[in-house]
Amino acid sequence: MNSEQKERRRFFRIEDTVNLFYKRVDEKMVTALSHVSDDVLSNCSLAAALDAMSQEARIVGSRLEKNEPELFEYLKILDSKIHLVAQAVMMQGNEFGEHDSRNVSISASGLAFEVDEALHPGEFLEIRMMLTSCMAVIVAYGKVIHCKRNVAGGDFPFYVGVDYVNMKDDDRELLIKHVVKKQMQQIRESKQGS
Amino acid sequence: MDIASLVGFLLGIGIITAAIATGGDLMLFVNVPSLLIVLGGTFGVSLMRVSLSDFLRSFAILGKAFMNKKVNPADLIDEGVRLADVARKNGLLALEGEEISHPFLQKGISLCVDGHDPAFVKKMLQQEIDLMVSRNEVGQDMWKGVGDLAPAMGMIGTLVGLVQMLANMSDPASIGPAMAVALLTTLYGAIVANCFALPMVDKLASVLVYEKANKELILDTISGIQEGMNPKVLEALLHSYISEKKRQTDAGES
Repeated sequence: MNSEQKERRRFFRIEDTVNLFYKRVDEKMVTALSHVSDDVLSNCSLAAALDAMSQEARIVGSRLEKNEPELFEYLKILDSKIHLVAQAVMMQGNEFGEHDSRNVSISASGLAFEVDEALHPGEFLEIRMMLTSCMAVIVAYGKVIHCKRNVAGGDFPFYVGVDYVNMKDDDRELLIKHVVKKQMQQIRESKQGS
Repeated sequence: MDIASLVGFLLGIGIITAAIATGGDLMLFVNVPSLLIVLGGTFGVSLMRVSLSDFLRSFAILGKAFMNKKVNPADLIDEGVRLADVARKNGLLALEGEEISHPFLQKGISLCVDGHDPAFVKKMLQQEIDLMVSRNEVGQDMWKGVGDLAPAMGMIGTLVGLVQMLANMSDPASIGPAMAVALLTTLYGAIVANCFALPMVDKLASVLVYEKANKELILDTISGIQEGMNPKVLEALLHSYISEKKRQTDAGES
């Protein structure tokens, strides 16, 4: 197994349906600078930045919860309010519609999704996807690893596998959390179904 | 096995016994009716204070003072961080095959693997912690009661002995031995309370604090795993359960 394959299997994958669209981009654009704006107020960075801050806050929060439980409850309510406002802002700014949803196999190191055109291995893509678990939009660059016929059929004749390139750590964290939450939901649904 | 409890108890009783033996006949200090008044009376009256099930359970809880196995929170943190890493990289179902040392952690992981909602898991585990605390507190109350009642029973035994002695004042030679026997119940009561019951209450309280902190640490670990939290962040979060001094010692060692 070569290192590229190892890299692709670094994280667990789940089957999901997400709102996603992509466009071809030049390799220079991918490798030149960070593809995602560092401006925290851009929709794409906001969710990741809020999540990173929440993680920092949790460390202090666990101590506060023991010493000042009432204050901690109050701060939790404020935190929820901030997240609701952020989600509303992100929903207003995103360009996704119901018709953009596709079947994907998603992990924190790569993505495979349905496409309606053949893509060539080595091509670079800009991918925008909305994670429903946290209502965050992730913008990532990826390199096409394979493109096969979509055996599942449906509206999309091809199935493309992509490795993320230069992904920000905060975005990767969001993806990992999404995958874990989604897996939990899928296990729950399958148990309820049976 | 908590060696300190066993050694402390044997040392306390041993030193008293040795001191008595060096001063004369050891059998002078053995009196069955006095023992019955103190032990029987103490446990009998204790039974009035609590329900039968709590009374019986308090003996099982007492075992914790001798048989508790102290789990190092640093080991729990290492294990939790490892499991969080497995869940992120291989998925929640991969946790099923992992070796888990602590039964409470094992239970939390089973709930994760079953896909239960994080709020439900937290509620369930928190409820278990609360029940453990209340069960232990009932046990502690019972042994604290024994510690309070034993000297009182000793005093009652002494009074009974004095009454019997005063009723037979016709034989002055018997007053001394009868007085000695009467005072034995006070001695027994003081020994039961101060060499056993009250130290056990303190030991159970410290075991409970330790066990509760470890279980709360596990609760936070499970929440972190269900969130897909970064193992480094989870480790930093869980380190708040270790004292500053211990953290510095561990950092120095590594």
